[in-house]
Amino acid sequence: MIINRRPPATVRLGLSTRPRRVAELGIASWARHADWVMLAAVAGLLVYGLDVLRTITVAPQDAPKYDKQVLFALVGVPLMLAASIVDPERYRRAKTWLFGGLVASLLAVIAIGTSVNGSQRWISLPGLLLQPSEFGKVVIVLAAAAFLADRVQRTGDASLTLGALAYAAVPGALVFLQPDLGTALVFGASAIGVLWLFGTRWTHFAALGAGLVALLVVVLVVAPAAGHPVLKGYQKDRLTVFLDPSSLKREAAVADSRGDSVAADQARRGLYQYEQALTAVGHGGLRGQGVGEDASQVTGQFLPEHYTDFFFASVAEQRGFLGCAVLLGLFALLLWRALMAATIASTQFQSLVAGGIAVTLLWQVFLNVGMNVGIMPITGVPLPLLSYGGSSLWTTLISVGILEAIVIRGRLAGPEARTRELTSVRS
Amino acid sequence: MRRLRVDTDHQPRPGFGPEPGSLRTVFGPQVVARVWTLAVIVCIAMGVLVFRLWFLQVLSSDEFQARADSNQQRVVPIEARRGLITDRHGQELVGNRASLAVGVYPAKLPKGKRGREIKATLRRVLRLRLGFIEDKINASATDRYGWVRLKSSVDKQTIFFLREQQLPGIEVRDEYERSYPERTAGAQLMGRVGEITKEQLALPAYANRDRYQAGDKIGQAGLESRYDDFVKGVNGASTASVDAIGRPVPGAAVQLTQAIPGDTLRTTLDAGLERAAQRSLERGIRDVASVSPQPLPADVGAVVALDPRTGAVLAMASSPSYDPAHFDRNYNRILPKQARLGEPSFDPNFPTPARNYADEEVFQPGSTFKPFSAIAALQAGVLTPDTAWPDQKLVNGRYCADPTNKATCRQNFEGEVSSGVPLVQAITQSVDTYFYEVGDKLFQKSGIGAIPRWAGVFGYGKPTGIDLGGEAAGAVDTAETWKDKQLAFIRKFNPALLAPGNEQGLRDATDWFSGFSLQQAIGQTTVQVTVLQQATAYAALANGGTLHKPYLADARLDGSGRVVQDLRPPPADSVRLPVDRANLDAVRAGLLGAAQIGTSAAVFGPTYPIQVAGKTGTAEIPRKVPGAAEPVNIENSWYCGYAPADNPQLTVCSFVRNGGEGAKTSAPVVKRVFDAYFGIVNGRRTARTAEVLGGPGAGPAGVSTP
Repeated sequence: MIINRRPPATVRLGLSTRPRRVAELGIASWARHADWVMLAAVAGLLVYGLDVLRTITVAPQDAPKYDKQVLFALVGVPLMLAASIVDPERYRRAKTWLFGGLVASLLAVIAIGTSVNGSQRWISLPGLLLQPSEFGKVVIVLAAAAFLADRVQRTGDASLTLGALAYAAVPGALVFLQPDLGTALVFGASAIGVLWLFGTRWTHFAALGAGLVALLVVVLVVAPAAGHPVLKGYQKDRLTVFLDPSSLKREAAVADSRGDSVAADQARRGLYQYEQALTAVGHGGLRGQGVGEDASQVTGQFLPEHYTDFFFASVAEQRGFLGCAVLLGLFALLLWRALMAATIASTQFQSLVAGGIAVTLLWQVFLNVGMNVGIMPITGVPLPLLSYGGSSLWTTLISVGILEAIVIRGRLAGPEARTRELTSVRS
Repeated sequence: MRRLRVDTDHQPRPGFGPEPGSLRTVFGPQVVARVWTLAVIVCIAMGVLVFRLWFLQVLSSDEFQARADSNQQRVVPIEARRGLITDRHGQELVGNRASLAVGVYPAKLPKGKRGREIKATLRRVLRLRLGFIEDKINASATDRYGWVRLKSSVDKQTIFFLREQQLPGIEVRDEYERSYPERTAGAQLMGRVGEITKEQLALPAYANRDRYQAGDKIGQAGLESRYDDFVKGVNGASTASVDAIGRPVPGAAVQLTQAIPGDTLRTTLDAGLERAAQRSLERGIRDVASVSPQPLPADVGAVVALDPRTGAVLAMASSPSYDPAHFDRNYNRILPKQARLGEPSFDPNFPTPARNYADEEVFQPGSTFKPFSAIAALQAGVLTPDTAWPDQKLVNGRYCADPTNKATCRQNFEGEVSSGVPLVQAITQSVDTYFYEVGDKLFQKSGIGAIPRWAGVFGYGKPTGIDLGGEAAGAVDTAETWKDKQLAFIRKFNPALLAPGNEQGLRDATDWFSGFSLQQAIGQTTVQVTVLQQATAYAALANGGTLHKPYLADARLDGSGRVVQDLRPPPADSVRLPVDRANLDAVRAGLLGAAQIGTSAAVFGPTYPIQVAGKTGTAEIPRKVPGAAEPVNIENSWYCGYAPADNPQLTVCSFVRNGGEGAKTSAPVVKRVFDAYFGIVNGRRTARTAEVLGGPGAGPAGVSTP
C-alpha cells in the first residue's frame, strides 16, 4: 500500500507558490527584489579573478587563457541572469532529467573523455573542454533537495537520508574513478548540506560521521595493511601531505626503489606542489609582491597550476595577506547572502537548494584555499569564480543565478508564502 | 521489503527534526538555527584560513622570502677561456675555439613517454648512446637541479634543430673547446681537457670551490693537467632571475662576475721540430718492414730531442699518436679493449695512443747503454781508454765467460769478430765482446753494483723529474732489485713457484747469474730505461758531464704576453757529474767515431754536413710470436746522438719497438730530426744551418773536440 508516493499535484507542479514570471513583473521588479549585495560580491570576485588572471598568464602559451576566461565570463553572466529568472521549482520537477543527464555525461566521460595530467575529466567539444563533474556540483544540490522536499512528510526517516546521500554517491563514485577525489568530496558536502538544512536527525549525522571515519580508516590504514590499497601510495600521501610533508618524499623513494617511475613522479609532483604553493603564499607577505616580476614564484612559473588549482597562491603572492583577506571577505559576503537566501526562500525546496549551494561553495573555498595554504589535502578542486576554467565558472554563476531566483521569489511571495506551501502540503 | 510509512503515522521524536504539524517547523526558528549553525561554520572556516594565512604571510615571511629567492636565482657559470699552450717561439700548440655544448637539466626533463622521446631525439641528433645519456643524467657530478653537459662542440646544424624543437630541460651553452693546430704532433704532451669527475671533486686538490665546480673542464693529462692551476683561469658567473624552466626573466637585472682567462704556458718545444720528429718517427715505423723486416710489426716508438745545454725538451714524439681534436671525447671508448688505460683488459704491450712512449714506458736500451758501462769501468779503473784485450777468451769468434762451457758463450752482434780493439773503437764498432769483458771485469772487481751505481749517476733507475705526469722510473738492476722484481712477478703470475719443493726453480728465477753482469754491460735484460732517460743521459755526455733535469714548461705569460713566472727548473736541478774529463772524452770520441766511421756511418758519416756523434742500439728480446713454437728474438731499434759533436746543440734519442737494427730504423729517424733542426736539405747546408750554428747560445765552454 503505497500512499503519498508522489507529492500532491499542487506541489508537484509548483502551482501553489508559483509567482508571476519576472518577465511579467518587468525589469524594475526584478531589480527591486534581487539581492544586490550578493551580485556585488560575485561581481567583485569575478573582476578580482580576471584581474589576477590577466597578470599571471605571462607565459606566451598561457596568454590566450585570459581572453578565454573573459569569454567564459561573458557567457556565464547571461547564464546567471537567465537562471535568476527561471522558476527554481522547474528544477524540482526536472530532477530526474537533471540527475540522469549528469550520470549520463559522467559515463560519457568514462567512455570518450579527454585526459589531462592523468585524469579523465573532460569531454572535448570544439573550442572548449567541458567538465561535466563541475555541473554536478549544482545538479546534486537540486536533485537531493527535490528528493527531500518531495518527501517532507517522512522527515527524519533514515531512507531519506540514505536516498539523498545516494544522489551524491552515484556521481561521486563515477567522479572518483576519473580520478577526481576532490569533486567527489564536494558532491558529498552538497548532499550533507542539503540534509542538514532539511532537518535530518542528529543520529543520522552521527552514523554518517562514524561511517566516514570508518571509511577513512579502511582506505588509509586497513586496506593498505591488508595488501589491497584502494588508493595508490601517492594518492594517499597527497591527502595526508599537510599532516606530514615528508611522507611524499618517502613515497617517491619507495616508488623509485620499486622502479615505478610514474608513482615516484606523482609523489614528487605532489610534494613539489605542496612546497611551491606554501613558498608562493609565504613570499606574498603582508602586502604582496605586486603584479610584476617581484611575484617571482608566479611569473617564474615555479608555482604549478598557478591559474587553476593554485590560483589562490598566485593571489597570495601578488596581493599578500591583505589581498587574500579581501578575497576571503568577498567569499564570506557571498556565503552570508546565500545563507540568507535559505531563510527567505518561498518553498522548502528552494530553501534546501540555497543552503546546499551555500555549503557547496563553502566547502570548495575551504578545500581549495586550505590546499593552497597547506592545511588541506591536495585535490583538484578549483577556487569558485576565480580559477581558470569555463565549467567551474558557469556552474558557480548558475548557482548564484538560482540563489537570486530564490531570493527574488522569496521576497515577492513574502513570509506568508511559506505558510501557504505547508498548508498545501498538509491538505 | 521496503519499509513504507503513512506520513500521518510518522512521529519523530520531539526536539529533533521538524514536527509535521507545525508551520514553524519548516521556516521557524529551527531553520534559522540551522542556517545560523552554517553561518558559524563559515566563520570558523574563514577564521582558520585567515589565521593560517597570517602565520604564513606575516609570521613566517622571512623564511619563505629566502625559499622564493633560491627558486628564482640561477647561477650560470661563465667558462673562463683556458690559457694557450705555445712553443718556445710563441706559436700556438693548443688554442681555443668557441663551441656550443648541449646539456640537460635532469630535473626539468619530462618523465614518461615525452622524456623518452626527448632522449631518443638527443641520441639521434647528438649521435650518443642512450646508455651514455642515461648515465650522464643519473650519475652526473652536478646535483639534480644543475646542468649536465651531454656533448661539447656540437655543430650549428644540430643546434638550430634543437633550438627549433625547444625541448624542455635541454639547454645549449657557449663554451670553449680546445683546438690543436699541430694535430698528432705532441698530442700526449699537451694532454687532454675533460669535465671534472665526481671522484676528482672529492680530492683535496680540487677542494677550492671558487676554482673547481661540477661541470668545469680541467686538464686531465699532460701539460694541461700539470699546469692546470694557471692555465684554467677562474670561471665567472652570471646570477640571473629565471623562471621555472630556466629561462631568464626579461628585464631582470643580471649580476655578472667576469671570468678571468687562464695564463699562457710557453713551452720549450719547437713546433717545427716537434712536427718533424713526429713525422720522422711515423715514417721510421712505417719503413721497418722494408728496411729491416721483423717477426712482429713495428708498433710503438718515441723520439726525444733535448737541448743538452739546458735540458729543455725541443721535441718529444710518441707513436701511435692521435689528433686530439677528434680524439678527446669518449677517449677510452674508441680504443681497442687492450689499449684502455686503467681497465682490467689493459695489455701493457698493446700499442695505445693514450700512452706517451717517450717517458711512460721502459725498454731495454741495448748498445746505446754501452757508453755508461764504459764510464763505469773507466771510473772504477778496470780499464783505461787505451785498454784492449788481445787475449780475449774468444772461441770461434764467440765470447765465452768460461771457455770450457759452451753455454756461457755469447756471439757478437751480427757475428762480427773484432777483438783486440781499444775502448774508443769498441764503442765505434759496438763490439759486444769487448763489453762482455767490461762487464766481467767490473763484476770481478766491484761486484754487481758498479754499473747500476754509475747508471744512477746518469739518471737511470729514477724518474727524470720532467714536468709531465706518469713518468716511469726504469731500473738498472742489482742482485737485490732483480730478486725483488722477479719475486713480485712470480707472486703475480706464477705463485706455484713459491710453494715448498720448488726451491731450485725459485732460485733459478730470482738469482743473479754472472751472465747478467755481462748482459748488463751491453744494456740488456737487467736494464730498463725510458727514451727520455736515455736522451737526458746522452745530453750529459754531450755537454761534458752535466745532468740537466729535462723540462717542457718555459714560462707563464699573462694576457699581454709578459712573463709572470719562470717555470724553468732552478740551477740546483742540474748536477755536475763526478766523471773524469778524460774518461768522458774517450766515450765521446767513441760516439763520434760510431757516427763517422762506425755503426751509423752509413746514415751520417763524414759527408753529413754536421758532425754527429751517436750510438746505435739493437736490443734483442725473446718474445712469443703467434705462429712460432719457440720465443723469437725481436729487435728494438735505438739511436741516440748529438750534434754538432764539438759543440752540441741538440741531443736526439729515437726508439722503435720491433724496429730491427738501430742503424737501419732509428738512426734515420734521428737524422731527419737533425735535418729539420739544422736546416739540412738533401744532405746540404742551407741558410738556416749557418743561422743555427752561429746563433746565440754557443755550447758550454771547455768541451774539447775529441
